[in-house]
Amino acid sequence: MVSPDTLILVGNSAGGAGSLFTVLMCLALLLYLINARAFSLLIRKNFIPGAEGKLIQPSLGAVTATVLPLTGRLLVAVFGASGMLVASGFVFNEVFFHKFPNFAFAFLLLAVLLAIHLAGRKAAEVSQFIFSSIAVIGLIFLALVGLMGHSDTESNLFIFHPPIHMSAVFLPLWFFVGFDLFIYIRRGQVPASGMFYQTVIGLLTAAIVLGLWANVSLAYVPAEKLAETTIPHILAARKVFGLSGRFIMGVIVIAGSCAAVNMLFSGIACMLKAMADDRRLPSAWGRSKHSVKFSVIGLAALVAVMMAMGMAGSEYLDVIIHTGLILWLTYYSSTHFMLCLSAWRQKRSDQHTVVHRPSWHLVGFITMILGIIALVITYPETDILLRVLFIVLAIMILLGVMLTGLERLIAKK
Amino acid sequence: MMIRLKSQYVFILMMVVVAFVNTTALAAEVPRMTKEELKGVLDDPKVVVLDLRAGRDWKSSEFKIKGAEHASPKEFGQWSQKYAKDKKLVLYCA
Repeated sequence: MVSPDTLILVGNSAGGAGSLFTVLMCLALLLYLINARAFSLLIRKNFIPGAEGKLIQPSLGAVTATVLPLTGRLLVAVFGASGMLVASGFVFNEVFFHKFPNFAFAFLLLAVLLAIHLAGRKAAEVSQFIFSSIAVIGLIFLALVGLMGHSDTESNLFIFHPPIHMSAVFLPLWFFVGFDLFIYIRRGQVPASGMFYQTVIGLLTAAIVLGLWANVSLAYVPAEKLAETTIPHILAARKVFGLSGRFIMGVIVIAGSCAAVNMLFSGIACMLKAMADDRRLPSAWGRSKHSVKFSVIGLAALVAVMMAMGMAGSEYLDVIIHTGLILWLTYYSSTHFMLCLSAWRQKRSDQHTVVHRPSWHLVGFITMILGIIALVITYPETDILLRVLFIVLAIMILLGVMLTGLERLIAKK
Repeated sequence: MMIRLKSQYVFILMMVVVAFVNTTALAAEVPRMTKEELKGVLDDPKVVVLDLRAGRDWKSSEFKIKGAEHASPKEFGQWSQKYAKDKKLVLYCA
């Protein structure tokens, strides 16, 4: 939520939607609060995080139960992390130290994050707190400086500029993707009810901070420029606080990247273990004492390979990341769909103790599906996105069939 | 345990080494221009500056030469035909 990718999306969306931005972000937040409710319900129904397959399998089959939770998250963890680390490398090279190669900094950051994970779970949790606090405090500080300062740009805050970019309208749907990783990391540490409230507080904090920053950006940078640029956050920081603003934004980008990659590594590693415990992946993986650490090493190695292969310079990187995000959203919508089905089945079987009502999940499912369709249609390269989506799904279904078959074979023996 | 820990740190060290090797790319025999030379001809109408960075390399960078056009290295066939033969094309990618 504080990654450089989110800051770019926030800037572009604010520039494209103008004064409508806050309303659109609040709608996206509302949808994610429904998502958070769905996940808290899953935990209360004794579906441990990572074992949502139990809910999916009866209706959609074993392969879908493996592929659906895995694909989007893995794509974002590998390709998204590569992109964010490279972006941090550029910021370090261009803002702080020109002579230090950007790629070397990206690799160095990856090595530091890996070392933190190898040092243990506590070290990863403390680092997560430090990285996210730096990013959030930095963003709040810059926003406050902006609110107290004077802008020489004509404010866009109250301008309903007619050419609202349709692509900007749906961008807020990306802002909160990944909130569910928190549930995996805190599994067993926080009770189910506490988990829901902590997730809600996290979502609200992110919305307030991002909303504040977006409105300050709109007050200082022309909307058209914000909508088109690839670095809206740096432009706005420079306008708000000059050279100091640029330095502070540099720190925010690096800390935000570290927080996002750290969270992805921790969350995905915990999810892989939970899926192995639930026999969605070879159960031997779940039994290993160091499975979480090995997963992080595997993820870091994949990210290192992607960066060494020059994936950051590929025009396909953003398409692949967006494919991952689309699949992540699809997973959210499928969770709502499954909860709806489970509630209807309970109703039909005349059980008096219906745990949840299907209406909220029906709203969540329909809105999410419409959002996904809109995001795909308004994406600048829809045809390439769809092509990549089909290729990724084909590969993952094949992998899912192999993994499910392997697990069955091991279980028989 | 000691061996496992050591292997983990060797892995990190290897990644750092790969990073430095990767960033020192060897250039072939391509005519080069210093930034001072480029600065001197930036206003020349016969000079076209093309930024060949792609993906995040271009998107993440704050520094872009004023007036430079963004061109994809994969579309060489297209943009090489776009400019008149008497134009001097200056390409940069870092």
